[in-house]
Amino acid sequence: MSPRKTPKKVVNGNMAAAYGAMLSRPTVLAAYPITPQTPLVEYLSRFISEGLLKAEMVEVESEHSALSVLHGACLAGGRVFTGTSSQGLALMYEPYIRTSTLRLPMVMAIANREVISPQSVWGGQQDAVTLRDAGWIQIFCENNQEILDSVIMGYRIAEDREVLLPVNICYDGFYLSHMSEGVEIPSQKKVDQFLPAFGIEHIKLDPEEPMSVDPLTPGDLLTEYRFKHVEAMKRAKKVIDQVDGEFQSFFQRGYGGQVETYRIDNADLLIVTMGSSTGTAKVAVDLAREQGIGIGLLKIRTLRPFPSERMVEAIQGKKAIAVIDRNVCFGWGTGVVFMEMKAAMGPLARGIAILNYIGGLGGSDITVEHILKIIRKMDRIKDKDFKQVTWLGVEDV
Amino acid sequence: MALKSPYQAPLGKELYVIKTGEWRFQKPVVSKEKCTRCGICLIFCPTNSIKEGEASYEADLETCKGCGICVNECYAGAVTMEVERKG
Repeated sequence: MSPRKTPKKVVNGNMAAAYGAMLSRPTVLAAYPITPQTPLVEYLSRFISEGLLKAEMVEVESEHSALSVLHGACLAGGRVFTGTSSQGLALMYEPYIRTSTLRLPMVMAIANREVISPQSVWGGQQDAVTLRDAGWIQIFCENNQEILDSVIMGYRIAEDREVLLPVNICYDGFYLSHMSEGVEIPSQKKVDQFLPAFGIEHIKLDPEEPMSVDPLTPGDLLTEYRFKHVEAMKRAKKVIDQVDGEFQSFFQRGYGGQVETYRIDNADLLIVTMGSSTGTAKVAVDLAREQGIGIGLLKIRTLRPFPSERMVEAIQGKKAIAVIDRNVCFGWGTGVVFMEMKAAMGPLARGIAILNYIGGLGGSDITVEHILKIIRKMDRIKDKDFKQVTWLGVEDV
Repeated sequence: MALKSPYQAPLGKELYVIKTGEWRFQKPVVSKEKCTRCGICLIFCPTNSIKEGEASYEADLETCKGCGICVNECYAGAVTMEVERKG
């Protein structure tokens, strides 16, 4: 590895998101504190009070107001940022969908937390995954460096003329939001080169050029706007990969865009993860490789748009796949990533044993030992006679 | 592919992009003789369809949805609804 001049700081996930936001030079912020996102709001307020961040922080009485304030600011030409978790996201539901369907490019952090009930403040991805069909781009992070970098990349993706969609940067509550590790903080000068100032043009509040935002729209036009939204989401796949590549050439680190693969060459088994369990799974993959098991890992970064093509490419030649989900897809009785993957695989799914493990809910741990057991089980699978869904901590692996 | 809107996001130059005139089965007809040009119809029209014409006030049939409120409000009894036979 080449020597780097960029200093590292020990920061937690919320601080990493706050640094990413500050370096992206937002002009208006509005957020309402909720565990585990609370420190993010505090850090941003501190940056402003210390004069490091020249932005207006609007104090609001709810998450619904926070996002609504940002609608106005974004339409008036601001670059805006917010963050939330769980019940806060639920309260944001109404302006959340309006953000994407108005095609407002912005970045919102989600410190993923379990949704109630039962009463819980701990980690779980149910909050964000439940909103996967609300028209936002959703990127899930593995570690704190990825959070910081993804916020900056998030603006490039959101503001791309081919995309013009809002982006969620999701990171597991407590596992990342409150976990500290070394993170490189890039210089403002370098981030400015990577992320130029943005001028909104496609929809705006401008007395010089009056337009009516969101007029009463008939069904045929509404259908057309949905069509355009979906096409933009499709184009976003390429943009996400391109922006990641460009980020890598600027900052000497990248994340693969829509997906990241780890040791998948000469692997007939594959673990699939999304979020912080990826780091745990990479350790398990290394240990299993030492024992001679041909195992690799596929990390899903973008739940939306779902990386169907990149995923299908990565699973070629695999004998068995285990998908680890820190969430539940009610109705299918599986995890969300598993359900999405099976849909994307189509007829390919017939020739591959594909298992699903649901765990890590409400702050319970997904451990290296769990994943090693899963890998050993995959290694033993001889035919199609296997249990499809297993609940970690409830059932034996 | 023929797309109708030049925009990526839902917006328009006016408040309504919906053509409420397509909902109409009857249209207001203004008697130029009876119209006193008081403008009460313009004030009450819910779709802002009434425009001041040369001899009388008139409804813009692009947006007039044929509700008949103008008939109800006209002091001079100058407006009547005429059933249109379409299609």
